[in-house]
Amino acid sequence: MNTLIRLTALISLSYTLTILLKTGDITYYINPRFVPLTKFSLSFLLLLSFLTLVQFLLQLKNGPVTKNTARGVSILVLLACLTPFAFPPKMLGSSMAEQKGRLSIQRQATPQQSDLAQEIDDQQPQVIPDDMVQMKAFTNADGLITLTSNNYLELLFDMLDNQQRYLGKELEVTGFILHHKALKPDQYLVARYAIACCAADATIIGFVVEGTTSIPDNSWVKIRGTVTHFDQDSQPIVKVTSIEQIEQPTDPYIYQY
Amino acid sequence: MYESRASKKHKSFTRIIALFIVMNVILIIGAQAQLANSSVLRQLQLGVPGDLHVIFFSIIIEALPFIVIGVVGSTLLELFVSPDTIRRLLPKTWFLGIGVAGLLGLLFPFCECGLVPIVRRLMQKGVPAPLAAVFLLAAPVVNPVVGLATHFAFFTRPEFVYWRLGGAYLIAVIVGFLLINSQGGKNPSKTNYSANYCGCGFLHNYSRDNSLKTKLTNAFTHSQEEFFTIMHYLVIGAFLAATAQTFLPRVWLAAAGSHETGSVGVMMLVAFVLSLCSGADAFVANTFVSTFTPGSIVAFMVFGPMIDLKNTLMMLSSFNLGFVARLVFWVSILSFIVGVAINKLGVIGS
Repeated sequence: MNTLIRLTALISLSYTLTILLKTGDITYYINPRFVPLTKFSLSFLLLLSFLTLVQFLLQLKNGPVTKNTARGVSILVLLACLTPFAFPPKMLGSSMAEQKGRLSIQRQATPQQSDLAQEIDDQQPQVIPDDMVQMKAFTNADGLITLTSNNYLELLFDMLDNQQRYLGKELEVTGFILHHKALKPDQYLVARYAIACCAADATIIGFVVEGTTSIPDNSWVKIRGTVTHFDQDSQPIVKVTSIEQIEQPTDPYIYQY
Repeated sequence: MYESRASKKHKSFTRIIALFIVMNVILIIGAQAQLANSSVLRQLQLGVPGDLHVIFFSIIIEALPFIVIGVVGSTLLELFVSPDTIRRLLPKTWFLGIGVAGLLGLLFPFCECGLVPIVRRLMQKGVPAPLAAVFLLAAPVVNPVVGLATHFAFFTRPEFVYWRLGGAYLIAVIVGFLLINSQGGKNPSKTNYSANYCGCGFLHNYSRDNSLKTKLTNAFTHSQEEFFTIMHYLVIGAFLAATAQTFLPRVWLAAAGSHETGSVGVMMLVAFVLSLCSGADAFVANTFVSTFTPGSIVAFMVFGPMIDLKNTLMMLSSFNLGFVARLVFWVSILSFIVGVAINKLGVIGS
């Protein structure tokens, strides 16, 4: 019986992983970078399932040799392996967002360095064409900066490094609405989850929008707005010019490194 | 004779029926759950329980490959490395041995899930407990992967990387020396492990029978045993960690954030409960930087990979209670001291 429970657990876990890999829903749980590792564990599970099946058939033929002692262990694992059938993959909801911290991106250079940068900035602006080039790359013909899942973090970093360049610029960004407790009542976040390894380490990133909205938390929106200023934590504050509700994108998370 | 044959047949018949029923139940539940538009289940799936499950299952998926590596590695050790080989490779003095054991993570960048079965096997092969413990504690932190991740998370503040890796090495080595006195050469791994847990159909007779078939059969049964034992602790740990992440109000924590000693204790507790992978915890630590003292952030990143809920449960599956308790005790005290010292001395400016 123990063998049977184990066999069921192994098969259902292998099945779940196969489906997740096939549909790509695995990215709701882990960074796509780790997909090869999951494939590796899947192949081990399949091998173990096969051997356990052989073991089970042998036991059917010969009868069990030893008495079962640790059925609880197997049942617990089986239960865990069955849970995905009851809970289909989904994105973390905004109910979790209050629990998760907001990633404060540590890009403020040490004082001496920023002074130095400031000096260079003042005296010879032509020294830093690289940043201009980088910013150009994100900007389309109308000077609109579009943030996508792929350039999100890169752009956010660049923004914090070169705050002056982005002031007054128009940007387009998607995210879900979140009225975070740490914000003022007339502010809300157009937020995304950033994930390093798996959903357990998700953190909130996003743009603080000044104003109010009737759109409820957790609904996805695409906004256009201008960067009005940076707050004391050097997070950009955006004033919205247009906002529209959209479907949740297929890649709702942003993956770090 | 006739009787037993008949009862055996009867037994196998019930087994097949049972298999059939279990499979059916799974399929029905699965189909129901996927199609469910009915309000209650849907609410559950989309609401907080759904979030809890995402976190719970993501921890399991993320840890799975490392557990597999651990189980396979431990099986290979069992099959191909004799205690004699290990004895020859061991350094001759405690000092050298412990110093080197703490750096082995640079060569074997395992995370803590995979280490437990390997370290247990190493102990059974004759590696002294203090050496194995130093490896177990240091490797999840003092390794290139974690160094890189921490570097990314604290881009402009390399002090955090140095203090994290240095602090972890120091703590692991000190615990190693402390264990020489209390533990010495005693082997804390559970020797009655397979006998206790074995419900498989094979007799574990470690006779002189060294045929390939016996070896492979043993390898399989051990892999399976180890996999399930570790998995069931992972399941418990992941569930508790996911529950804590979902329901523990973060606001409560913020209150203790700026206290020089209190913040260190709180962050260690958070690290223990969250049970994050050592490759990822730096990014979570980053979210606390603005509200917590630097020492507490370092304590979080040093203590978490060595001791956390998930990994303590996994250690209990392999080592006896006294040994695990000793590890938890010393690592907690030392991490706390390191964290508080960083705050008091102000070595990392906030």
